[in-house]
Amino acid sequence: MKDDKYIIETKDIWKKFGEISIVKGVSLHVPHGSIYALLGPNGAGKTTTIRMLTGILKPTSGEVFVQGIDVVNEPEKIRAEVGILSQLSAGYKDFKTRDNILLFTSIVGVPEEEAIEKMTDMLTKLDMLDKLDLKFGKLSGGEKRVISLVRTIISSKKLIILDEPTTGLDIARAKKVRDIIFELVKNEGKTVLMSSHITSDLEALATHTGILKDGELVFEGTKDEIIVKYSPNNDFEEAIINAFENGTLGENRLTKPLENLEGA
Amino acid sequence: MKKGEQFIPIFKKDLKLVFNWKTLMVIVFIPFIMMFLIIGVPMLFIGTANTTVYICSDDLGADVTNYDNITFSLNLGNEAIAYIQLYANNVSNLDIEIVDTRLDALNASDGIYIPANYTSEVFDGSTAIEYHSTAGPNSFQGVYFNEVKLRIQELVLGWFLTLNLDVEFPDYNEVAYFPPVGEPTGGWSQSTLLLASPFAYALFIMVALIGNMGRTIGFSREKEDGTFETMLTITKDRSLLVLSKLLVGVIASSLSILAYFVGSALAGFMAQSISGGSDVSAGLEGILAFPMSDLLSYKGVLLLIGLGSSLVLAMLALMTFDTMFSKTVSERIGTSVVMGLGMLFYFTVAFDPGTTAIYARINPFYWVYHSFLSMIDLSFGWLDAMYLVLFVGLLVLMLFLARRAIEREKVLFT
Repeated sequence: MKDDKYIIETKDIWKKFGEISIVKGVSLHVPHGSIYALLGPNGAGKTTTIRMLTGILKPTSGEVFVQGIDVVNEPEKIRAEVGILSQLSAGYKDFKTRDNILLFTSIVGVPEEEAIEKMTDMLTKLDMLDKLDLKFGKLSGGEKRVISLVRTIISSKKLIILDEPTTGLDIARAKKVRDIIFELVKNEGKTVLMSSHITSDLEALATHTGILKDGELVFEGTKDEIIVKYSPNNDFEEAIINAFENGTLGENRLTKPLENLEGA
Repeated sequence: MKKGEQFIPIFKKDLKLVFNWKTLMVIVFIPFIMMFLIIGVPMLFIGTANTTVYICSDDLGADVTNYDNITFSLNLGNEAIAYIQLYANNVSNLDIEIVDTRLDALNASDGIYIPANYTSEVFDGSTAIEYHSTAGPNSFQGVYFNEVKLRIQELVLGWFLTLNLDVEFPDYNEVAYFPPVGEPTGGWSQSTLLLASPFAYALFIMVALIGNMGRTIGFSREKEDGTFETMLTITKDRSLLVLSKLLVGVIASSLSILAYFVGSALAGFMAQSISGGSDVSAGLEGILAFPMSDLLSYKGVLLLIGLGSSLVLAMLALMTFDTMFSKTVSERIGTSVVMGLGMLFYFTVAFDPGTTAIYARINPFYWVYHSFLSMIDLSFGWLDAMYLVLFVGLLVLMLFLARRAIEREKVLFT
C-alpha cells in the first residue's frame, strides 16, 4: 500500500497496552521534504506513535512504512537509518559533550571528520562550542537538549524524528534551533517529523500538521488548512486549540489525505 | 554500516563507561584495600596464634644391641614425646597435647601416632608413624606440624648414630591417615580434596564480587539516563548490546578479582615479614592457598578455566535479569539470585567438599565446581558430563533469553 510520495506512511495503526488503546487507527502521510508537526494534548499518543514509526514499539495492528521499509516486519532495517530525538535528553553523564556526540554518530557510521565538521558548525551557530569539553552531566537541561538534537541531526540521513525538540530551551536558543531545522529541510532536502506543544515552533516551521486526540488522528493537512478549518480569526494557535477541543475522527479526517499538498 | 561494524564503537563506549576513575575505585581499589586490611590485620594475630599437635605413643620399647654388643633399653616413642615437648617449650605458638588413643590423635586436626613396634622395627625401616594434618604445607600450622615430625626423625637418627648399628641407614616411614568419620563422599583423591576448599572459596568470593557489579556493567544505568532507548533505535543487531556489556563485564570482573587476590597476597606477605618466622611461611587464603606445584600444572589451568566459566555464568545471569526486568528491580533481582546461589553453593561445600547432596546438585556453580574438580582428579564421569551439559545449556538459554528480552518493548518500560 506504500506510496512513494510519502517518506512515512502508516495505515490504521493501533497500539494497545493490555486492554487500553493508546493509539487508535492512525493513518499518517508524511511527504518527502516536509516539516510535519504531530500535535495533540498530553496523553494523546504522540510519543507512542513516534515509537512505532521508529520500530521501538510494534503496533498491535496496522502497517508502518518509513523510507519504504516495512517497519513492523523488518524493524532492524530502519535502525540507524533515521535520526531520532526522544523526549529524554539522553547522554552519558560522565562523557564529554564531544564524545557523546561522536559516539552516537560513529555507531550509525558517520565518518569522524564529517561528524566533527557538522558538530562544530552547528554548535558555533548555537553559541555552544565552549561546551564541547564539558561533561554531559554538567550541562543544563536546555544545553543537554541542544546537544541531543545536534547528535540526532548529524546521525540522520533522509528523515529526522524529533519528539518535542525545543522543550526547555530559552527563546533565543529555540529560535536558533528552529533555524537549523528549517535549513535542514531547505538546503539538504531532509524531512522532519516533530511533535511539540510550542506553537511558535509549529507556526514557524510546520508545512503539514497531524492532530492526535485520545489516540485518534482527528486532522491531517497543511498549516493553511488547519487555520481555515478551525480558526475564524485566521490564527494558528487558536486553530490548534480548537482542533484539540473539537476535532473528531471522521468529520475532519481527510479521506484522500494530502493529495494536493506537494510543495506545500 | 554493517551490523558487525557497530560492535566496535559500542564496545568502546561500554569500556569507557566502566573504566573511569569512579568505577575503577569501586571495582579495583576498594577490593584491593579491603582485602589488604581484612587479611593483613588478622594475619598479624594469626601469626602469633597457637598451633596444637596431638600425639599418642603406644610404643612398647625394645632392647637394642649395638655394634659393641652393648644392649640398650629404648622407648623411642616416649623419648620422642619428651623431645618434642622440649622443642615446643622453646617455640612460641606451639602446644603439644598427649592423648591416650590412636584415634584421639588421628582424628584431631593435627595428630601423630607412634605404634607399639616403633622402637623394635624402626632401625630396619619396617615400621612407620601415622599422621593426620589438615593444615596446608604453606600455612603456619602446616610448617609447625612438619617441624614436630622432624623431631622424631632427628631422634631416630641420633640413636642410630649413637648405637653405631650394623644396619642400613633407616627409612623414616610415615603413613598419612584419613579419618573415616566425616570423610567426604565425593570419591576424589586426597590431593584433589585439598584443592576443593580453596577452589570453592575463590569461586564464592568471585561471585560475591561480581554480584555487586550489576549496576556498573548492566543496562539499568543506561535506562535511567535515557541512552538505552537511543541505543535500541540505532543498533541494527541488538544482541551486540548484550555481547558488549558481557565482554566488558568479564574484563571488569577479572580485574576486580585480581585486585582482590593481589590485595590478599600483599597483606599475607606483609604479615609474614612482620611476624618474621624464618621457617614459617604465611598462610594466605583464597586462591593463594593452592599448593604452588598444583597451580603450575594442568590442574592450575583447569582451576582457572573453572573460575572463568563461573565468572561468565554469573555475569550472564546478571545481564539476563537486567535485560528482562524493569529499571529499578532488575539489578536487585539479578544480584540477589547470583549472590544467593553463590552463598548456597559455598555453604554447601564448605563443610563437605565432596558432597553430593541434592540441594548442592541443583546449583549451577556446583556443576562447574564438581565437573572441573573431577577433571583434575581424572575421574570425570557421566554425572560430570551431565553437569557440563547443563552448564552449557544454561549459558545458551540465558543468552537466548537476554537476546529475546532486548527485542521486547517491555524492556523500555514497567
